[in-house]
Amino acid sequence: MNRHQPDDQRHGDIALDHVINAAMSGILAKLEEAFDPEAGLADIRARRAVAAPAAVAHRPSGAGSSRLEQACDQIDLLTAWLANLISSGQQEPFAGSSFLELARDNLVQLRAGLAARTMARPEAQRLTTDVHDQVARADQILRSQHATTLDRIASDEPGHTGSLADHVEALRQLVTRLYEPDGDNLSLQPAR
Amino acid sequence: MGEPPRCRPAAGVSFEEVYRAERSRLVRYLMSMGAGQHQADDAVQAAFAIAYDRWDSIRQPRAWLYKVALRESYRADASHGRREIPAGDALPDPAAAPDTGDLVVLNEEEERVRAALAALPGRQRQVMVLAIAGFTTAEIAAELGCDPAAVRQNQVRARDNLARRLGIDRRTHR
Repeated sequence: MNRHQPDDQRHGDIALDHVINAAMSGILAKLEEAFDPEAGLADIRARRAVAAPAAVAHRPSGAGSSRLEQACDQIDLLTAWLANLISSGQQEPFAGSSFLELARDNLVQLRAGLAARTMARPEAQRLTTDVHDQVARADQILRSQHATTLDRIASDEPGHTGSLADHVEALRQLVTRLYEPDGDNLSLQPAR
Repeated sequence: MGEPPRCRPAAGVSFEEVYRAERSRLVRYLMSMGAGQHQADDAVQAAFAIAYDRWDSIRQPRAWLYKVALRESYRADASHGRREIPAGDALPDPAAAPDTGDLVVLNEEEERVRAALAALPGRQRQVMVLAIAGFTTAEIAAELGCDPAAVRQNQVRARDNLARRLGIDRRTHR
């Protein structure tokens, strides 16, 4: 710590570090003692076996798959942030949180349609636009009634980086690219 | 299923080496962030399962695993009660604990410190818990996408909060 701080505080810092380190070392030792690496590796193999058929069923092969994965990852990121913001709103209610719930529901619907390749472009674009509008509306209400912003609230949440509006815009671009003809003319419409 | 995990190098370390070295630390990290042990176990296993197939392309495995494990823990939160994340990724049921070992019982002091960390405001909590996990200020700043000065400021506030919650008087203690 700071070498210029008073002795009392330095002693306090040492005491704090000691308490934290002792507890964290104790927890780690117990987790290590209970940990069965072989069982853990077997569990990972089992998870991969479960995930592989689902990936075949829900994700296209070929040039478009990474784009779809990127879009799904972006949706997951936004869904997690919105879930945290909604959770914060339940603890300290703020006007506009109902718009966040609508946005989250639209994201879930969008992801399901994209992952299953059953969603047509107009529907995907409508949902993306709705998410944009709902997030913007929640932010507008926060600014006018609570003198704060969604980003300010979200910045208190672990894992939040960048602005929500930027991430929604990134999602819009990812979804648009999904439907662009590209090499194999990948279509998200299922073959019928 | 059935084949042993391959030991492909990512940034010079094999999957198995990192799994054996980091798995318990990751569980402790998520528990300190507020997850229950079942949820932490499950999220860590899910993160390693995702990492397995991408191991060749992960340049900083440790930072990557901490980020993805936290995301998986949030996903479990989001799906609590009803499955809000569609089953496209076929995530295992978070209610079912992975069979990776026995649940541990923390003593009173360990639980007190864990609870104090978990009760910190979000950004302070993440900065502090990542610091405890051994990440440098620069690494934490990169992870959180913020300035190193903001990391230091949050760490100072976190330590003040922790000292207060743990009853450590940093002005008069000797």
